[in-house]
Amino acid sequence: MTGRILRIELRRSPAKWLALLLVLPVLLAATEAGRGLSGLALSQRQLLQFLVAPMALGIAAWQARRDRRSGMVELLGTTVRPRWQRVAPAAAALAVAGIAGMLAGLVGMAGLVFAAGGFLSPAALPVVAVSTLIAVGHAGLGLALGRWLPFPLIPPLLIGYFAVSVIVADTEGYADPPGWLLLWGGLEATMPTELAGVATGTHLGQAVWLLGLTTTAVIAFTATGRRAGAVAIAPVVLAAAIAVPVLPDRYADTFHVDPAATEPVCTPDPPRVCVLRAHQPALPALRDPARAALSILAANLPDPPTAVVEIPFLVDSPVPPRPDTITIPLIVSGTGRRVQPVSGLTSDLRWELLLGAGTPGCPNAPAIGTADRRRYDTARLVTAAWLLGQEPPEPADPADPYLLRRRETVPVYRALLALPPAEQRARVAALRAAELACDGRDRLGLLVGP
Amino acid sequence: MVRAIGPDETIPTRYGYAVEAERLTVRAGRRLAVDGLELALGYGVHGLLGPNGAGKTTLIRALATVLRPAGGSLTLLGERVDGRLDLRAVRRRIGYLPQEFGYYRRFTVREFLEYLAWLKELPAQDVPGAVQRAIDRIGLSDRADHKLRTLSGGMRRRVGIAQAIVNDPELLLLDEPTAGLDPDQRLQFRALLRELAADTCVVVATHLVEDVAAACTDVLLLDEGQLVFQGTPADLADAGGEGEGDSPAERGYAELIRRHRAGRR
Repeated sequence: MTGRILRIELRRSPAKWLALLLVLPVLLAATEAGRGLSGLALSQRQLLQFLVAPMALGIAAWQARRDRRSGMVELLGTTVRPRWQRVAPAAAALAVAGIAGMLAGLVGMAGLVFAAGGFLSPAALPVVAVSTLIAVGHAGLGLALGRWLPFPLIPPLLIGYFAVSVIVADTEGYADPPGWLLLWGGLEATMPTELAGVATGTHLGQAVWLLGLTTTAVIAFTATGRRAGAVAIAPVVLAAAIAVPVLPDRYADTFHVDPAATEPVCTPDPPRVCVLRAHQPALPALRDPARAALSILAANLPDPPTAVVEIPFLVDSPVPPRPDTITIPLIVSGTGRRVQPVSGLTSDLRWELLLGAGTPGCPNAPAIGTADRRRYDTARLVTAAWLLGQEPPEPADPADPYLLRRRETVPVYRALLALPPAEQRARVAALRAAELACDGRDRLGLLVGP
Repeated sequence: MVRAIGPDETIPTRYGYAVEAERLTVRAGRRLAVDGLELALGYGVHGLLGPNGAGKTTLIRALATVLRPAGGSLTLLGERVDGRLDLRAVRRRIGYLPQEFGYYRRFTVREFLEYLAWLKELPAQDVPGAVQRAIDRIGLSDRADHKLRTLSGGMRRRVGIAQAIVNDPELLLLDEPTAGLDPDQRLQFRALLRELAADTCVVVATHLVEDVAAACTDVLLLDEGQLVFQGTPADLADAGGEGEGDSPAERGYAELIRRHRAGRR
């Protein structure tokens, strides 16, 4: 019979709206499916945290006022079942809706990723599991708050207040965010989401905390009697005591590059062109420009590279150059099929691949914004122009002050072309050698003299 | 609908009166709304009459175990309920229609009655039958699967009566059950009351004297928290004489109230 009552509550209570709300982020994620399942799960978490969780809170608080709103308190007071039994189906309906909504969301996201040919990363599963605890936990919290603050304005106030509190608790306000901010449940990746792995301690800490919070909320919603308040507070305090040491000390320690997402996926035939597994739909887009760049280098330089391999786009950990391989970081579109150059040059990837004659740029290059950096970048861009036999283009975004203008680059290009052909070739080869060695010599001086 | 009869239903009644009150006082806020009431009610339909503020609703709420008596003793269905903490056993055998009957707007009639039957701990296998019987008795069979918010006020009132009888209570408490019912429905309701009277103690609080005269086996007249009169409808009519009022019962009602108030001064 209790099962029958649960079915009635599922059909007639706002639980079904909660389920629908939880599936909605999947629609928004539809344009991002090319980035893989774990990237989607992290995007879903952000949406859940900022939008859905406050809504769940408000919906549940509204549900908690139902008896009072309906004028049923007097009649229900004369029925036989104790309060916890009476309200259990309504609470269970919210939990069932929360879990069902998240499961449907997971299945929907996996389907979109599969259809886009993206990476079905298993790392998404713990992220979604904790997200489910967030959804159910906030619904529970809403029930408890709605019961103890039984005023009509409370549900909308809760929605607003929690949305604001989440923004306040966001990592943006901290130079080096502390780990306990993770108690708010957010997971704002400090790197491209599709490459991000999440520390096990983060999942465990968040899960313990949310389970404690949910237990407290359920007791506060169902219990009657004077000691209920004291009993209710215990689980959340205990959970915080366990969760905070389990969470990473610093927020930044939550994320690492996921080895499964950065494993190379390569063309079966030589020359080898590889992308990261998280970017596997982008392989066709990279293959042709990559092979064109390799054959240009083979035709013009000694000891040319023989493969193109994508490396993770990580600002603070550059990869040392490799003589046999062009390594290139990529920004991949949401569908995963288009790739954009990180440098912001042109949409023609050959330019990007041939910068510095097929080198990624050195970790010890002059700092961005300095005059030395402009000389360094000009030398690398003119090298690519020489290899392609085209004048350097105007940057894709002319407003970006860090990008090189034609009036800076074209004179250098013409100066290079003015040299005898054998000398031109030798200068470009010397620049490539300097870039591979990452020595401190002035690159523009190497190319066209001081 | 055939229903299995459980062993507890075949046990003979072990109490003399369904409701027994001695020097019963009940507070409504700070006021003593029921003040030293002596009452003994058995099977049958007891019409509870009285002017506004006489304590009818307070008495019904005390009988429904919503209010705890402030003094005296109250025994319902053979169980003392004043000062008792665990009222579950006695509540299982009571049906109650509050004066302000609330309902969940989105539930259908059937779902609402199933929910109340579940709250009254009816055995699961009895619920579908009990719900259907209650729906048939109040004449809402064709609306059983309509949502409550789509029903008219009178239909909702009948759903309120249905939830009160869904557990086949031995003590049925109805506060203004005929409010919002049209004349035809009131006739049906009186017939239902007569049917229930055979094995139920029904207490009907109302200010419609003709309802009491037509359907009740017994009349209780309450004024200022005290029992002014208890007798048959015929006794009530006889008390009237030539006073004001459109019917003998109304004349009796007015005369008894007048005499009680004169006696107190």
